[in-house]
Amino acid sequence: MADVAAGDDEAFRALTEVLYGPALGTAMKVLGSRAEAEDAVQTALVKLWRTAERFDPAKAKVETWFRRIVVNCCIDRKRSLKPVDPIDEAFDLESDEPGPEAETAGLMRDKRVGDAVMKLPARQRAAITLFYGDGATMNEIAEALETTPKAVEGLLARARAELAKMLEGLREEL
Amino acid sequence: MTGDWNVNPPSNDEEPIDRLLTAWARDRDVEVGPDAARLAADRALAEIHAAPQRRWMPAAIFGGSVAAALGGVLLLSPADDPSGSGAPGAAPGVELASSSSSSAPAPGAVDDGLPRFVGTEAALAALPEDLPDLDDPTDDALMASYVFTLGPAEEPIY
Repeated sequence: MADVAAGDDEAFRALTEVLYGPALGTAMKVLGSRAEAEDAVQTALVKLWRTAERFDPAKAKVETWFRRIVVNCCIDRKRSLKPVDPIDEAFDLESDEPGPEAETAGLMRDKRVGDAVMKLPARQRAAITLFYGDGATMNEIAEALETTPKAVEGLLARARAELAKMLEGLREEL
Repeated sequence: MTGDWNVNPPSNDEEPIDRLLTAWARDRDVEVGPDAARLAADRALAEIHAAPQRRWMPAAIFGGSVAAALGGVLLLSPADDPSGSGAPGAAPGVELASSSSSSAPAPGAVDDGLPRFVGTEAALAALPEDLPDLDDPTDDALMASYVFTLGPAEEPIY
């Protein structure tokens, strides 16, 4: 990271090799679209370079630092985009029949959970992704979302209650 | 490729909704091509290295506009001194006289053949009779806009 801060292109490429895949996975969970996720990660990489000199290894790991940048880029991107429902979203949510893309019960269930999560505001979605997916602590999520741990608790509680309501139909499957 | 950032189990109660969300959030099998990361890094580097040039563009355009505007003002301003000596009202080839100057050459002055001020009479004769008063507005393009601005009484009523 110090080499990146010093302007070393090769160090930046090497760091990107490590960070890109996980970052894309997180961005896809928050944004729900691969194309948007790739754009968000691209923006995050540029921000990583520009803020590299502010990185303090004593405070956080590079992965945590970059995750914060990625989540912020995702939220910024979501704010700037008009919400557009996927064409098949309503059909898939209302129907209990598995679609052609969801051949197994597990895939179908994940799709329904994903669709429900996509209905949440971007910040709640990011909090859910970081908490359940990354096992991030309240402090880490608060840092990523630039808010307080108390506010994160509220975000998570609201998101969880909303999702529990939306996914009531899946309770029997578990 | 799976995300493996600080993966710890969520510490809250494992209710069905938590199991669902954990399963969903941890499923991050994202197909990433072998060169995807490198391509992304190269694209980012291209943007990073191109950005400083782009950042100068607005400043260059603004600076150029200001310079052009100043140039226009200078061109449009009527010249007070056709000789370009910088002394308003001074006649061509005549330097301003100081109160201590006289027709006699100063002691120790060197005659180098250059045109020199020779006396107050000549300078006074060359000066225009109607020197601008200090209270008069200066005659430049900025004041022209002042002159041609309608006063409240002259504003047309629609």
